[in-house]
Amino acid sequence: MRHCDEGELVAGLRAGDTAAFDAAYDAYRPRLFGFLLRLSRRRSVAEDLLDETWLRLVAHAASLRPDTRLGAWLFTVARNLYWSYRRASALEEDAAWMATSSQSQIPATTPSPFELAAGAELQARVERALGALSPQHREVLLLVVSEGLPPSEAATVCGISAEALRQRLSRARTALASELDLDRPARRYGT
Amino acid sequence: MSEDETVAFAVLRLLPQADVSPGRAERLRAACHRELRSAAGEPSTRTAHVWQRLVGPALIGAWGAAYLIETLRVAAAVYGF
Repeated sequence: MRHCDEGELVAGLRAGDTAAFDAAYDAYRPRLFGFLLRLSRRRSVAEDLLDETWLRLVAHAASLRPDTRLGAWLFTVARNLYWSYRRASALEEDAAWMATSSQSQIPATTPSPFELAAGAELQARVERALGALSPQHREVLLLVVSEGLPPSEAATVCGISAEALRQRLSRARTALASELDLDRPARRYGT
Repeated sequence: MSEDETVAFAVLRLLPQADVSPGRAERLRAACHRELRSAAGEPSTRTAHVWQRLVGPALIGAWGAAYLIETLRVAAAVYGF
């Protein structure tokens, strides 16, 4: 979403305009839910945190600054809610993770059955590898690589400096690559 | 970065979007609309609020006061004051 569009949305939200809310809601709801789902790895948790994120937005809509970056604001709230939840409930990280496969979007072009199977397998491998990372590594990968947030905004969302984010992102990439290697049967069994 | 890792990051960028069920999404939208409207105070609600809290009681009070004064005035006239 472009900056000027965000400015208009923020102005609308400050005025209590439901059309502005709808535009923000439709643009950011799937992105926030995907972020929370892959971060928490539990659909019910992600749903509850998503509700709370949007209710926080409308509760604070009138007091938003005109120059608020709405995307960064929403991801910050969602991320903070997740960490609050995690601290409160001592979340078990190794819960079953079968979240997004049934929610996949239909691709624009129709792949062959072989491409479909290969793509699904790779996607499943990446999801598993992502799930095996620490939440700190997972969140920076999701924000920067998956959501495409600029590193400066991702640093703001995570509450760390740009340099700390760069280092964490580098470690996360290494960890993801390592998990993908471990996931590869040929390497694991030395064949 | 190996070719596999490059592909993996590309897949990470293209992971399928997830979303809540349509029913849940609409319930949340409606709840947020209600919150927004109550925070902003819709004009019709605001008018009703002003009538209930200010104009209505003021008119009833004025009518009561006028009735009381007129009753006293009539009573005074009957008893010759």
